[in-house]
Amino acid sequence: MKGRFGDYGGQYVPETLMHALGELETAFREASTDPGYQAQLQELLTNYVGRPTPLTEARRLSRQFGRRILLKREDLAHTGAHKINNTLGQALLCKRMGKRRLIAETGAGQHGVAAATAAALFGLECDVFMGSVDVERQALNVYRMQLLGAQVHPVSSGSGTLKDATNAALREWVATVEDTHYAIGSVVGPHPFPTMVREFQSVIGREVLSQCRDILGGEPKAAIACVGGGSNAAGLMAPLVDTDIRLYGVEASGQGLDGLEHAATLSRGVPGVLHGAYSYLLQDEEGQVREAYSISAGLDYPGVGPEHAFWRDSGRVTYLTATDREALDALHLMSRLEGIIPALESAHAVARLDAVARETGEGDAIVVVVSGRGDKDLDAIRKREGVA
Amino acid sequence: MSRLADTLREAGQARRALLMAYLCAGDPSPVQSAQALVAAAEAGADILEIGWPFSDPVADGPVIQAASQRALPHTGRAEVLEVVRQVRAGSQAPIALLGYCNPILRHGLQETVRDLASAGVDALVVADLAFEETAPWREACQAQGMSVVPFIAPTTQGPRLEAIAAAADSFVYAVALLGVTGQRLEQSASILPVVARLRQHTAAPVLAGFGIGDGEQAALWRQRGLDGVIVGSALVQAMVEGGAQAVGAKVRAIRSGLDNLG
Repeated sequence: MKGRFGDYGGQYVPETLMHALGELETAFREASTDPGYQAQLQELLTNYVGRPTPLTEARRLSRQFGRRILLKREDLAHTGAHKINNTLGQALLCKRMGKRRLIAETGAGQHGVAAATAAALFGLECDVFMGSVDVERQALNVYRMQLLGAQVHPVSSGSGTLKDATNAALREWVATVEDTHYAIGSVVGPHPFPTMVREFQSVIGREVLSQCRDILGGEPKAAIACVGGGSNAAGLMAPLVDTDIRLYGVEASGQGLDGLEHAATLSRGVPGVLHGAYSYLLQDEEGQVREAYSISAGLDYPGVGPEHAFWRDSGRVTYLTATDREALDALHLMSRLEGIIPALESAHAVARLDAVARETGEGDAIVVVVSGRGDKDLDAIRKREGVA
Repeated sequence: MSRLADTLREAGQARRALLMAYLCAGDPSPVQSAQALVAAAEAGADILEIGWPFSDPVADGPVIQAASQRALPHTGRAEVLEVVRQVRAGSQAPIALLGYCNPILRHGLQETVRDLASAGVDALVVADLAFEETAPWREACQAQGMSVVPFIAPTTQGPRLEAIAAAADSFVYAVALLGVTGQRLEQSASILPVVARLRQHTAAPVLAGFGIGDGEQAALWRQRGLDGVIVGSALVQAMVEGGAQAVGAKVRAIRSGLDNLG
């Protein structure tokens, strides 16, 4: 079936959006084989984003774990995270479809900033929907988006976080679909978004393979990335699924998997429909969607990309979890040992290097995606740890 | 579904405009919502549309979102079924169940469709079920004598429209505007060309919904050639302001707008 990964994916949206999804699918398919579009995107990734991002040998972390640890440095991409790979691709498609306006949802603000950046670069109007709780928590990113010319709309319905911001963005898209493109920030939503966003992020995995050939003379033993909606992980993994590389995704288990304060959708969820796709979902016995929780606003989402659901069931990717505390400890460890402060999201991947090290041998190479830089989290960490 | 088929046929023969009245199950309580739906039928609603509250109603505007939020703490699957049974006990009007995919899928599509049918539901209206995903739903519903009501929107085009027409086994829900539910002052005409094209492929009645909230607006849609209207947010609002009595009064006002066209 169309846009399916096994049973997962699909198009569960109001009829009003179906035409726009078809139009987007066509534009994406045509652009994929259009040398002009590809050259333009490539030029932007090179000279605007600063790709390829480095693959850094983490020498002191390597000594700590007895493995050869390589860091894929998405934190060094323009705007400080991998999100820009996707928003530039979608902004180009928006222009190609003759639409004048981009809308986006955002949790921590990283995707909102990346969308506002791409909109500024292409002269598109930009409206970003952000939960009112997140607007409070991430005031600096709100100002960044405003500086870039975007309007930020606080969403107070529901719990005032990413799920509600996504609902608001979908409602706005239904009302303005004729001249507006909805740039979803992760590998979630109705077809073609999960496939399209994965393709835009696959530059991560392709670079990893090529850089590993240069540095290691071959493939790494394992690769690991954090999973919220799952876009940096899908971008890493999609080019790697046909290799022998062991793949690991790390979800946020927040305060622990025993309670409800976590965002471990693949570990504790049940398949269902949210925001246009059939995938694993944190939900109650009645089929009502639960609020997710994580110290990291970028992982704080009750759904997950449908392709991850497929990889989970097939066993191709192993999904692990890390708690708030483990992520914070990993952030400290990496900051002190490598001089790199990872985003709290990325710190969840670093936190499970212990498990991946156990499943590999002495000196084996492990690639960790540092999906973003930690500057945005410093306030939250300082408060959490009671530092003045 | 024979209840629904009979209602549609009789209205067609009598050239009577159809009115489908929506309220959210459990708002403010299961019993009160059931009583208000029965009152709506007595006041002249032909089809009763019972909403199954959902945490993330992306097709709904603020009024129905709020109704869903009020109902959710005390309205699950069992309560929705109970509201259907109470409405069925109090009225012979056909019942459409308006819901979102996830709560309906949670305990198995077949099982839930069977329970809805035996409680008295005649048709399913699923706000986030695109036509392309309806095949298993239609199969499950047909086995229970239930209809799956297809949508058209101002953006519906091309061969999809013919496929939607071909699948219409009761009536078609015409989304009358680009946007979410909730009464609007202005009544967009953008759905009309889509309705005209649809009619080339099906004789099924077409009801307009979204944005329609009073007798004058309902009459306009009748004049525009629609077979009827669907009213939701305005009735939810009446429920908040004056309970079943206010819902009945609102339905009567809309009914008289539809009937007094001369």
